[in-house]
Amino acid sequence: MTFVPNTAAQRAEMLRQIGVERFEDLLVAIPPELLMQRQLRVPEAHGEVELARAVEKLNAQNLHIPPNRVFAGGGAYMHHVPSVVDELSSRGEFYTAYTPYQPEVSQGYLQSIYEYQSYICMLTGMDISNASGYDGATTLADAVLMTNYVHKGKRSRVLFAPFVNAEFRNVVDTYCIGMEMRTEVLTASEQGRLSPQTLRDALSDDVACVVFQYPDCLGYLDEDMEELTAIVRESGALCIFSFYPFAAGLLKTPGELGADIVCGEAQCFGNYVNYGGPYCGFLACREQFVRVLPGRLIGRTVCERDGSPGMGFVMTLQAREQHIRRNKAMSNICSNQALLALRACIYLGSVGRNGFRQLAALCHANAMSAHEKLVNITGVQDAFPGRHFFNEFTLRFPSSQARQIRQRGLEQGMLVGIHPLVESDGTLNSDSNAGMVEDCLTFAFTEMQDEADSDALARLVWEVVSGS
Amino acid sequence: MAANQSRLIFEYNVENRHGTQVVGGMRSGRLEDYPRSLPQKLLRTERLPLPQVSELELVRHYVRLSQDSFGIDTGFYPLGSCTMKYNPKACERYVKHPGFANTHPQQPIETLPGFLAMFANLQDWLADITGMDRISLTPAAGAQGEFAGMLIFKQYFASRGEQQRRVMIVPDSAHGTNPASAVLSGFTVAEVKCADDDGIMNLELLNAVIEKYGAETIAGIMLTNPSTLGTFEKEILAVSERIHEIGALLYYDGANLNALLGIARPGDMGFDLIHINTHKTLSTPHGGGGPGSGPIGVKEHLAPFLPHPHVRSTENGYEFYRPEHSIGRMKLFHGQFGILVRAWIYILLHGPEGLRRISENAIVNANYMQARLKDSYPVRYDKWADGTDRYCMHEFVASCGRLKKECGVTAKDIAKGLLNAGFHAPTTYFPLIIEEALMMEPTETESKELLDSFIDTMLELHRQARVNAEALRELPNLRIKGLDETYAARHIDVRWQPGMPEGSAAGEGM
Amino acid sequence: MSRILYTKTHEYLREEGSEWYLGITEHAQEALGDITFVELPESGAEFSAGDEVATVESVKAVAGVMAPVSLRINEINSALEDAPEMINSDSQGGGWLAKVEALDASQLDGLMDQAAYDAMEK
Repeated sequence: MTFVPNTAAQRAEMLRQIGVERFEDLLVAIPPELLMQRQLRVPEAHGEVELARAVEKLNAQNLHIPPNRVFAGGGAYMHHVPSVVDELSSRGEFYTAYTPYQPEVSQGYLQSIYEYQSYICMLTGMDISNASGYDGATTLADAVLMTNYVHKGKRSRVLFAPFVNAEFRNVVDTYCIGMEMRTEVLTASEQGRLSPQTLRDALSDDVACVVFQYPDCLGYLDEDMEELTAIVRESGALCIFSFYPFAAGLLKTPGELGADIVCGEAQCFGNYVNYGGPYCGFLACREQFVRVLPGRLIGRTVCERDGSPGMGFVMTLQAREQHIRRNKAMSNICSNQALLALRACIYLGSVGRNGFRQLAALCHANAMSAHEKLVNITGVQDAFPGRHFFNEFTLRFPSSQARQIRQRGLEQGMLVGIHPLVESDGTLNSDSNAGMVEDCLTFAFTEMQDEADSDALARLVWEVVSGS
Repeated sequence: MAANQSRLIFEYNVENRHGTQVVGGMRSGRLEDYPRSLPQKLLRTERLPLPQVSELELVRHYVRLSQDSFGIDTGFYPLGSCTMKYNPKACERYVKHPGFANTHPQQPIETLPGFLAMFANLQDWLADITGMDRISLTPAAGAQGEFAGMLIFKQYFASRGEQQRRVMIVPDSAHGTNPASAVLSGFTVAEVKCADDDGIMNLELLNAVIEKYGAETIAGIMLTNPSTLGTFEKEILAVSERIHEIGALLYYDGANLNALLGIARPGDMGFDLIHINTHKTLSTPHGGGGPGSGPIGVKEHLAPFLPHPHVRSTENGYEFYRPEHSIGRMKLFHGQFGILVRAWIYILLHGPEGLRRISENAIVNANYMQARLKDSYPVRYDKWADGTDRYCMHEFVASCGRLKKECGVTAKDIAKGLLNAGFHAPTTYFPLIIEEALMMEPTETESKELLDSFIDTMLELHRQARVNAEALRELPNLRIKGLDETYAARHIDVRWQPGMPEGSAAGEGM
Repeated sequence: MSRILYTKTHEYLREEGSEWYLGITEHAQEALGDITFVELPESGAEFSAGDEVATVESVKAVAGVMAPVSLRINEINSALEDAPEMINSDSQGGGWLAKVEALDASQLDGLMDQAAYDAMEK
């Protein structure tokens, strides 16, 4: 198939006007030994018929788990995508636009990003949000590097509160290679919390930031967050929150809890889980850090609109960015995830204030209901009894049964929990808190499940644990 | 309804108006009790100020915003270095297959052999297209690919005990991401001025910088080929030989790969590491600035450093694994999966002949535009040192420098004039080494008729500039203009807040 | 009249009493365009000649301000934080960046006087 419109005759005419006889004459600058003498080794061109067949064939090899039978999160959440999100975001004017370099013809896209920034500020309790980043882990890494710039490179230690998702931490580690920052994981108390004393002991004047995940990767909420952030602030370090923004429907924002920088994943707002990407990382901060916030920012300004003074939108504070600062830029970010940010925007507008609160409550309700069913099974325990959670929680199983439960789930077309220490590609991660969650699984719930689904889950767990 | 065109979605709010109903009433009725199971201390006290609008209001709002946007589907988009070609609709239709869209990334890969095979296919195809030994699909965008590449260089030298190699050579025509990625990875940047020569890297310039810093401190060089001027780096073989001779490495910025499909390969030119912008060359849509995807390719000696996870073949299929000295994870999960699926589809749609046809026609289109425009908008490097004609590859950089001298009309004025005429503008003021630059990349998917009408418009603007520059700046067709960027930077208004007067800007108090 | 010295990179040092005012020249502010942000050093900081002391941003450009000679920062012009446009309106007066002390007075001899700077400009 080709999407080249010019005919052979047109091409010949164009070559004539260029002043060459053959196409190859245009390649004289390429050393002859570099010119390919064979065809590329890729499959023969497919028409749409063959393509449809290839796509079906590929998918037929895979196990398909229905969305309501996915009881797993770990950074990606199976929420419903309203029809209106797909319909509106697939409009070609949005879909096939590039970065809005020419504001006169990009007002619509610019405005949608301004709206996105406003939503992120509301949900996080921050003052400024960028126009989005690659995903929740890279924006966490961006946040960590921001604190390096805030402290002008004088503080190089990064502390992770216990139970920050290992996959997120690994991305931060990669980003820290260049700046030579060091990361450490703080030890959890017996209840799986961060004790104020542990935090105080770890802080010193070389700590740039402390990273909290909220809820943490086991799903738990810490009631004493304000006390912890106050301790961090006292030491001169900054508080970063990696936040699951769906929880904002019910819970206080990280801003209220004392965060300086908040990041996370907006995939949950109208974006498919898509086997892990593309997602939409958000990154927001308090006003005083705007100069070190990487990525694009859209601002409102004055303009001439239909001949009268009016308001419009532009990319602003661009002098922070790589295309102007080059080797003095604090980040190399160029592209963002505008299309997914647009979808998040449409999603939040579509469900609205009451709908969003209702959905958040339903996620929590579904988790509570399933939790009750599961902990009533003999042999199944909370990883840390008495802890509160939003839509994710962690259970402890008799030795080696966690693996069997997951396996049995796959056999029955369910994705049953994730092991808190295992990355999505199967790699085992270990840190100082690993021993506390060895035989555990973390379960996630959204509005997709109903009672029949959690009953099926409970039955499966019971079968494995009771040996039936 | 043209009354208030910049009205925000928040400004349509009506208390208790219903939006889209995601779940039915039978499931939401009992919810009021649930938050009570959480301690009051954790719960929000104020209601979130999300807008309450009907689905129809929402649809009209975003349809209007789309109509106030410009995409490839709207019109010609000759934005140089961005490869704004047609995004085939088939890629969009098939990527929506629920098998792709609804698969959770925590589903064990052993249950997804189809995806592993797709990853492996794409790795093999990209390796052949670029002439590299191994491809990693995980970087999220071109800039992240560069960052991954720079970290691989850093770890490679560390593994050899050559930590003193800290200098990264970057030509003055490079994209801003190149120096920024190098610095983010702990290198220092040595910028080489190619502008005063003939715009490309050559042995003389290279040797001067090597001598200045000392061969043992040089980590490598980052090059885009064709360069941002749209010219093939014809000294590339000598440059790569010299770089390797001093023990350093070559990085290839794949932003301009659309010129080379089936024609020449960075791997054969001596590059040790490359990135590919799939959203450019393989036409995965730009989506208003993203998502992109930036797979990287390496020669065998750098393979142990590739990001984690990587896909390899086994006796009975494929598997994820962690390369021995991996720099680690670049992002969550398995790369920009949906974008990679589109790239896979795009290659399948084209086949070997189709891929070469892309680059051939991209080159013909660019040269045709250059040939017809260069008398009015001079191209700084249009001859080689020996006086022979210099053809461009897939893009070229014209200049309004002469026009500015003659009548004060700048590249920005011409760009806005093009917008007024219904075209998107070329990239302006880049590369930095060309005065009043207009960087134009027509791509292969535009027809001669379209190019002719664009060229005619450019020539007409040129004529108008000299007759009546003021008239050219009037822009009668643009409803919105004069957007004040200085005001925006001095009065930062980057979010709406409840209580803000409609249509206001913070700091103005109106 | 107070003495003003210039660098090739368009910084000036203006002597007033026992103090030197550091800033960017009229030519530099004009080349940058509307200035929107200034990043100033801390009082008391010391810099070697040629080090970057401050950065000045406009909408589309950013420029580093180099120390013309080795110097110590005695005072910064904090009024610029809210009104960076003063650099545009009065670069060599109210738009000064910092009051500095030259650490090695002999380096001042290497700078240009008004006539030499004007000649370079042509």
